[in-house]
Amino acid sequence: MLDFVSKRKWFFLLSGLIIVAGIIALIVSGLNLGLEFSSGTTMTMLFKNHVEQGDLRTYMADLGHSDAIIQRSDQNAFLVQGLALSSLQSERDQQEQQLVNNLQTQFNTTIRIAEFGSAGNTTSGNTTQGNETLGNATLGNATPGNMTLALIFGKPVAPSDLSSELGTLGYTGVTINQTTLDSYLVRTKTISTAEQAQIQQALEQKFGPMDFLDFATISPEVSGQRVKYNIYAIIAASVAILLYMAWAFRKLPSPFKYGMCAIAAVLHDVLIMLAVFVIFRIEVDSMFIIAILTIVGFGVTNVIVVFDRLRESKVVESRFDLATRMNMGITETITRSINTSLTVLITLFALYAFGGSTIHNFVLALIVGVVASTYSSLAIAGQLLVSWEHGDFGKLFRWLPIRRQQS
Amino acid sequence: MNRRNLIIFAFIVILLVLGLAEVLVKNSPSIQGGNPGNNTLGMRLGLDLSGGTRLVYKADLSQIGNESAASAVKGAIDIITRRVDAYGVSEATIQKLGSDQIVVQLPGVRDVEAAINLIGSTAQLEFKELVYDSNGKPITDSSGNPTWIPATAVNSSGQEVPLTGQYLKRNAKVEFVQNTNAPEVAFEFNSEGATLFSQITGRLIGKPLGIFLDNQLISNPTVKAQIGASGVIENIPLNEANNLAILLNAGALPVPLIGPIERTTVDPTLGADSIRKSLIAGMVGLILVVVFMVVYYRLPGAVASAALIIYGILMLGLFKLIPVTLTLPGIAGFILSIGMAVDANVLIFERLKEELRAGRTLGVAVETGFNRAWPAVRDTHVTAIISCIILYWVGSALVEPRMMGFALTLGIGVALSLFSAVIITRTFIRLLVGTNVANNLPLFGISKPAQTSNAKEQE
Repeated sequence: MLDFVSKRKWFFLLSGLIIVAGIIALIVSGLNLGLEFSSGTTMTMLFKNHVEQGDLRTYMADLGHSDAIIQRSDQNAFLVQGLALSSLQSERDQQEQQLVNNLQTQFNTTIRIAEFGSAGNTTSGNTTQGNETLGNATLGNATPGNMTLALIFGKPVAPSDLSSELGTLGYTGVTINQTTLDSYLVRTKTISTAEQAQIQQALEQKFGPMDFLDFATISPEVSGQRVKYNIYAIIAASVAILLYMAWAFRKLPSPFKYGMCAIAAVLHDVLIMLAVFVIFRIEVDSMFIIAILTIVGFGVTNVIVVFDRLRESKVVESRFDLATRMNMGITETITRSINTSLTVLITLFALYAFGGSTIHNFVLALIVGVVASTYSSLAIAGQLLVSWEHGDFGKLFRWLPIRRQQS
Repeated sequence: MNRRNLIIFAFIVILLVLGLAEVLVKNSPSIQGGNPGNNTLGMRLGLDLSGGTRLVYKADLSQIGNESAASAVKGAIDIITRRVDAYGVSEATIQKLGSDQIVVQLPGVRDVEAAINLIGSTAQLEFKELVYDSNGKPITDSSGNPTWIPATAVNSSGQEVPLTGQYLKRNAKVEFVQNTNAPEVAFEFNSEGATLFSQITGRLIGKPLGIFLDNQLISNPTVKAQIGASGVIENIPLNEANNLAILLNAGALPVPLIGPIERTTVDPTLGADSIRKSLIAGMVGLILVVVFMVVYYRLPGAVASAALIIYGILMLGLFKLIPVTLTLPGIAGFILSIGMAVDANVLIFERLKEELRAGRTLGVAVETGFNRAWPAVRDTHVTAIISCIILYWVGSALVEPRMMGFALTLGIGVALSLFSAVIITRTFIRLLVGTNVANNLPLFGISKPAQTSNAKEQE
């Protein structure tokens, strides 16, 4: 029989160290909160002409965004001119989407698209004074002939291949230039859509044609709401599981203690996940919360399987003390715990390797959580129960000095 | 091999055939009706897979009372739905979030500037006239802009009321002027509006009539003759003409909207890429799990793998039947559930092995093994479902399809895995009882001859 219980101090110490390291990192550098929780705006700006990062930073500050975090991310692109596209934006959007879909199927890669020379085509912000102004403001509307599309491919493609493919799709007489465009990932405080249009107008006047490859904005109100609901969710899940466990182990003495220890083990898993994300500065977003709630369910499952052995009649009727019974439970379930975690980890690693970059952090959180919960079900949950029954926690303050005297 | 097992076996086969049919037939039925989606999987896709934009608006309820707030938000949702439909976005969803927010999800729409202008406009159409001084010159304010006041007329019940967009028929459309081919928006009033419009145009012959949308002057034609039911708004670029027609036909919002307070876009091409990659990940995951199960648990592992594949087919069938909106976390949840579905089998097989090691025959070992494993299997599934329900609840409160999708797929997966382990695997193994393989212990991963359960303690 394995003895996992008597070594519990070392297990507690190991977990404690990781969690304390996480807390120190949290105090020192804080949580790397995603847009959803921190609010603000992220946008990828793509410029047709060369723009220095310093110039962009200075100009953004002039526009009142001195807080902007700007990262350079050059894009290899094809500038395509002379496409016969509709002047009506909704139709043009559909045409461009169709074009991208076709090219993507043909070249089997991701393609992003930007328009140069279409600024303010629908946002006639200055229509207050009469027909003339209205007319002028929107007569600058992109006529498709002088608009340039930037196509950004996920992998290298020969210009001649693109040219012939465009011909096949019915776009003839187009000119294609392969080039590297200056692109910047910019994060600022929350920007409204109207402000976005102003920024685009100002940047185009200063630096020439530009477009936003993507634009995401979340107001503090929305992010606050998300944080609140996610905290509710974790509390609600903990309470519901605690109550269920108290019911499931009702035949044992003090069933609530089993539930409390299961929840403590699960909180341990969550803290380990947080510690890893804080220490490695990985972004925390909604997906991370999904991962946490999944691990809450998965972790409790692991603990239940171990505790399940303690409620079996042959164990209950045995004369062994709780520590021995706990060791029996752990010994009997260790194969299952490791095998289940292995099968889950196999699928998670498959997801990590093949599932695309958008879910990397999510899958990583789950991998950390699965490892932590397997460990805690074998090395923390039962040990906490034994410590509680032995009164270790009450003795903690006496216990520490005693240990020092011994050593 | 008794009759009951055969009946259950037949039932499983029928389920499998139905599941396969649901998965493979492109336009298979769903409970909610309608076509689940046009993509290769024939499934309804969430924004993160189809690509598109999510917008959240807040209704400005400061001007209206508490009791009418709910109906105002509902009215706004109806009008936004009409606008989005007219704009031509298919499968858009417009939902209430909390008490005063509206979530608009536009799948496939990449460039949303136009959509944002369309959705966020209050679209209050007003007709105004100039104020003239004693010399007949228009009065201007300090900065030289002319002063416009609402044009009013006497309605059928004898009251003086302003002429607004509420009197329009919902049939405004874009037309092109014959000679110049310039776009214009033609509109028509109902009978009450026509009464008002004819009085106003009669009064303003030779003078400009101001047409305002949300306090912005969009046209100020000079009235040439008294007109009744219909009119046109000229000098308007095509983009705006289309939007204006949509706005006039959908009607004005009962409350102004603030925002969008959230705006996130997923590039549709990224979504398509994610589907492809996730499918590969799912396949690889499934194969690796099957290999692991067969290598470690031998025959029962192979049986569980068969159950797992049936489980996968039934899951996909359920996704289409319900239908579940598939999201990236949803796919991850499904793939994760494959790993977790194995858990119930692992729990049962560990018990089965214990019983076989204790020298019991397969028939007895299956029954005791399943019964011993049951409380743990039940409790683990219930707690997993509890966290799925809570995730789903939070997801729906936040109108967050990624959370709902994950909770739903994982929840269905957990429930189905219970069925798979307890019904499918057990029936398959029961069918083996009494055959030759039942006595072949190495096939069950047991190399040693039968020993007593006490012997295990001494290992």
